[in-house]
Amino acid sequence: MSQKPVVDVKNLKVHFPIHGGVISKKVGTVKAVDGISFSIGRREIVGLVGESGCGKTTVGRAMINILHHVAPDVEIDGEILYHFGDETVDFAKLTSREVRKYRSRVQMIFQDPYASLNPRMTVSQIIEEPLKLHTNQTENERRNTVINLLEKVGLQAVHADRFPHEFSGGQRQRVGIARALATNPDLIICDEPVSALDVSIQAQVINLMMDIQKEFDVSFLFIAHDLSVVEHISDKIAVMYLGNLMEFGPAKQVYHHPKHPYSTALLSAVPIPDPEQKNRQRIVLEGDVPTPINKPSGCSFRTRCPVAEDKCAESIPHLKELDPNHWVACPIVAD
Amino acid sequence: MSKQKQNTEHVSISINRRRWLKFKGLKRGYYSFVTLLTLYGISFLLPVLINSKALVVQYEGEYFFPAILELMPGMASYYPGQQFGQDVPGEANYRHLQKEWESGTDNWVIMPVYPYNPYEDITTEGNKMYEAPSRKHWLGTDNTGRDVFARLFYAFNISISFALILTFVNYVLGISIGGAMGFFGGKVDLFAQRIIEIWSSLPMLFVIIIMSSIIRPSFFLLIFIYTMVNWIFLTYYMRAEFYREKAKDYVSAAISMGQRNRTIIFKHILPNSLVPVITYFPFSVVGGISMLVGLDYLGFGLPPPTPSWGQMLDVGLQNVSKWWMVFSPVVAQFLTLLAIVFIGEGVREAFDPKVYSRLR
Repeated sequence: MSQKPVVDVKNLKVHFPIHGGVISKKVGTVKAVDGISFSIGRREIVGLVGESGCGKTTVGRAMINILHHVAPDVEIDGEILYHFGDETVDFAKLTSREVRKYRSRVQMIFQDPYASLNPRMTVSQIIEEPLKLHTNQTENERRNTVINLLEKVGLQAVHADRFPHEFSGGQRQRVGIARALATNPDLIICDEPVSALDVSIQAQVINLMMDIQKEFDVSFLFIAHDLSVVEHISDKIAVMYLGNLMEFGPAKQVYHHPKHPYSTALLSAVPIPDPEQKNRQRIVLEGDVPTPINKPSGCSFRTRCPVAEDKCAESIPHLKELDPNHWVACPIVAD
Repeated sequence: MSKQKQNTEHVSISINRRRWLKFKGLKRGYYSFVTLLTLYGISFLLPVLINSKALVVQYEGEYFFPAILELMPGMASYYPGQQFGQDVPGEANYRHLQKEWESGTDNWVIMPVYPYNPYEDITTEGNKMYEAPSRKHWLGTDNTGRDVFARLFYAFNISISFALILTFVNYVLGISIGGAMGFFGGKVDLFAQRIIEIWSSLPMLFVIIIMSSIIRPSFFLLIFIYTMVNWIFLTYYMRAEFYREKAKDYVSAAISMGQRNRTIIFKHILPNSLVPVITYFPFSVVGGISMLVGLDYLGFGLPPPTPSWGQMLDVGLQNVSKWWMVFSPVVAQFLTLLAIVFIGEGVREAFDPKVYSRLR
């Protein structure tokens, strides 16, 4: 029996209009996310990688429908279809009022553990908040759930009544994970959850997340720019460049045998702790990332691509399944 | 005690508690705060401490409590002189009664500690103008024979009350309007900001002076007039704070778990955005007091004969040779403002974010 994926993202576009002039008319658009499609299966960890500013975080925030809050005039197009049981919900179309009902099913872990916890609330108040909203537990039951969750993420019951400022970055991130788990969600979006932590703590937190993923039967969208971390944790990897998906496939395959020229270049930059490979060829890309306000025609990577040809400028390349489950958006490689 | 025993190894304290402890540790600010708070508390009991009415009168077996009745709002504390067999027009003169009944009668009077009130002038028998400080009038009398010491203390109560109410109303208005602008942003912010710009360009001092010369301002009318312009500067702080806080991840987390706007505003954003306005609070009170003194000095403030430092300063400067009339309001004002500034300094120190930031 083939199970439905947790979420199907279809041709998602997130555009931020730029206003200018005396009467604030629209003078341009930042195409932060420009038509990407992928899906996340049950109990699957999908890694989303790309360099800074390519729209990774925007994808995550669009999928959890919190962009309107900070940017009320954001234009979201496409479909973000969640399959909760028999229900299918499109987060891209729902109003913020309608979406509230489904909030418990998708949660987020944030990048900066110093900013993601309200400094005025104790740890137990922070973890309790989603429980109060989405469950009918009594105060005692909630307390038990909180302590249970704290132990699951490697903290102790005594930590429940402390304030965030009494914790280290790694401990705070564990509190953030416990909060995300509180409502037993189907999908957790992890927005660079370890990039603010130092390396030794990173490994602990990543292992914790992998344990939790198994225990709670939850799917992850793991956004990161550290490729080795993503390869370690993910089942699938999606590579993003300037608002478009370049490559999407099984983690091992994308990491060890990338097909897209951008993925190849990105992966050649990953340091490998092996002196025998010191002569490995490193592909250095020329130039800078173009601005998402004025993107190049056709393939957005063509201005820096080492193998680009004239036909790359003609139309935006679509993902093509070159190997089973391995999708690449490049007209050159596809031939 | 038992609570302390439970967590002997670790006691978690909230940020606010920490700040309070820090403030308590800053002796100058803390003692100023305690002193001022005590004095202000006591100043509500002024009718039984500094008053020309008697605390207790026993007259022919009956008891009267005129000063204590004055403490309670809505109670008549007026007794004509004839009631106690005194041959004076209008209200009884209790100081005279005390003297009269010193010997030979069963009647007696207990007077407050300082038996003069801030309103009685030379029309009351025995009062003289420009009397120098003495054991009778500790700080002398002014140009109409009113007791300076009594007026000073009544004015203290009025000044602080005025500044506190003014600041409170300003804060409520400024915080809610500024917060709404910051939280909702977009068009709400755009239009509110334009209205505020127009409103703030009104020359408010002249508006107050003009209004005061048309209608006689009362305590609450003055607060109303001054609030009309003073809430504006708070919206600037609050708007910016709300804009900053709402973009933080803990607010995003609250939204992503489906929290309601109301809870997000009051539970998450508001407590975290109050620091600058709380730090400013004591200085705003200083501003309120100074403003009342200024208006009273110019004659556009509270209507006479309300006791006020500004009016005392005004008549004092007209009679500079009577040093007690200038000296008293100046020193009283100086000490009060100094104490509040010390408090403000302590509050600012206690709320200093540097203490809680740590290396990342």
